[in-house]
Amino acid sequence: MDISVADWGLGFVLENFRRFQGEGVFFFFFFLAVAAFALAVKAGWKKDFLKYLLGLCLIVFNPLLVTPVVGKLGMEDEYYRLIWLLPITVCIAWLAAFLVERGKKAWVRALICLACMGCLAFPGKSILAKGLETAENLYKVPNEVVEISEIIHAHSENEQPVVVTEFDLSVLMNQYDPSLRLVLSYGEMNKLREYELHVEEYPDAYWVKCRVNVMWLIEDKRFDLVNGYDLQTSLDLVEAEYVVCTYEEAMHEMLLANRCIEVGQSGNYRVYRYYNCWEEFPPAS
Amino acid sequence: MWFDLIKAGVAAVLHLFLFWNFGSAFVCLFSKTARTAQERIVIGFFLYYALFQVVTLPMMFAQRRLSELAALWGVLVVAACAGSFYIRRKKAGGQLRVLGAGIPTGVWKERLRFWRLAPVLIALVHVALVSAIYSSYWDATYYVGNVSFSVYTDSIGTIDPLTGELLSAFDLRHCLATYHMHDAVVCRLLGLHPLIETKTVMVIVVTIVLNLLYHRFGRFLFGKNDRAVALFMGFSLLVNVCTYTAYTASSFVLLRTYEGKAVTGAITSMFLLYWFLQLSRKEEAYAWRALFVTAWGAAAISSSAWFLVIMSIGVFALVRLIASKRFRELFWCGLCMAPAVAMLFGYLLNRLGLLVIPVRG
Repeated sequence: MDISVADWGLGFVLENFRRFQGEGVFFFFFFLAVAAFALAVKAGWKKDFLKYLLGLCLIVFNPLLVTPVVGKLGMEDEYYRLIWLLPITVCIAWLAAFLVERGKKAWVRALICLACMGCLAFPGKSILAKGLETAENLYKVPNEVVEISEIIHAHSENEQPVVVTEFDLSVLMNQYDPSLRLVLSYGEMNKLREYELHVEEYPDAYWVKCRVNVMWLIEDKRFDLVNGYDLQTSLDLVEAEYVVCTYEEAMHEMLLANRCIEVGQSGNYRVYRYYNCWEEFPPAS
Repeated sequence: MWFDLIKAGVAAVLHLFLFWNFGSAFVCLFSKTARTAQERIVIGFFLYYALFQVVTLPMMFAQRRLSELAALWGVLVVAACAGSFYIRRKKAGGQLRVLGAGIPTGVWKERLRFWRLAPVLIALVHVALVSAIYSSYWDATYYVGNVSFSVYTDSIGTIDPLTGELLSAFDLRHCLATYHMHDAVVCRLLGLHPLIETKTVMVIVVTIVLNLLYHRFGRFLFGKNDRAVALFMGFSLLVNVCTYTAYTASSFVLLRTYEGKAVTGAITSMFLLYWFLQLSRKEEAYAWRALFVTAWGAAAISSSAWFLVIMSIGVFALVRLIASKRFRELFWCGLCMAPAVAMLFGYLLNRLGLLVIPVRG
């Protein structure tokens, strides 16, 4: 999360609120709601509620207490989740409903309701403004993922074919079809990114280098770093059977020139069968 | 696809039915007053996952198969539902009203007024919104991948979902919270694809449970004022939609509902607060038991909840101690925190290398 006690000191708590709790105006509404609650509500449990909030502020969100403890426990990346203890949504919703109910006539209540909605919608960062995509299927993955899996299984004689693909696609294929053995899995990619600059330092450097080659070509499209020979030896070493990548003419030509045959396509993706050096190429059938 | 859709619908209804059953049994055993269906379902939600954890962890560490866990859990759930029915029937004096039978027409007319139905419409809008959204987060590679690999390999938490390889030792940080293993069990029992169970069924279920909790809170705050309760729910949805950053509870509720953190951020923190407030009202004994079940269930659902539960109950305990000077309540608070503390302790020992449970190849 890039927020550490060492960097921010006593400002650690405030910085967490600033980065992870959205727009400050909602905090203002939250404080307003608590104040209104303290003044307007007559209920036996009111004192317990206010004391609990005060306790949270004095203990959980107190920089003097939090800064040394969180730093020592190494919980800087997880601290922001304690903000979820504050009943921000409930309090703001209560305040808005409370204000609407103060209107004696229906048109007054409607006006107050619209005003409250405006106060929430305009300063807020709406999830709808993020530009959401709708799910294409019940699996909540792009249709290409489903189709590519079907293409590979229809073509392969293996129950667990080895597949090389781009990271964004592999992350989804991992979830949809675990029978596909991914060369560049999530864990693999993280390791390779650490390795790529210092690959010679590792005892199994050649093994790592081949995987880094595959990553450079399939993921980063670094034709300047990886030639056809490197590609073939790397794909042989990882025992790749299928290569899936977004269509690009240079990549397409390179794969076809290096023991690959296109077996299908879905959307922007092309599926290639790679024939290892011990397999017959081109295939008889 | 239609068949999958029907199965998903049946699975969602089944989840809620089971939560209601478990919650009703709890209420019948421990509460002297009638409790609303909303409260029963939400308390049943936490109780269900707490009990699932008790069954799953020994089987996980003994490296039994997922199919064995699914069979055992299926039998236990059927037995629990039968037990729940028996307890409720006994408490009702041998008479149990089924699905509203026998309710006078006037009462139905009352229940079908606009402001009584508005919360249902709001909940449906919320469900439609989360069901329709496509979002892709790398975290899903772990959590959803865990379910996919467990179902595919018929194992319980022994595969690293990031690589597809066998783990060398159990990752206690994630495997002690057995929420996602339950998804794998459901997939095994109902033949659902893991992605449908996690990203469609559980998204719908968690959203409904959240709205039931909002409704319960609304009733708690506004009493019998139906309009105010409906407005409260509507504004809650609006606040969730408008307070988006990648890390707010709202973001998890809308975009990452399949994760245990969504339950922690939106449902757990609110339900703990609800029981804190109930403790100052009647039926203190029932509220303490419900708080214990909520804290335990929350810890069984997500490891993010461990620290959150401990801090929340800890602060509450301190505040109560200062206010009421009842030291006995420190003991009850400690008991409520105990499951979360135990799991956190187990994780810390694992991290220090003192508690390592190897995975046999």
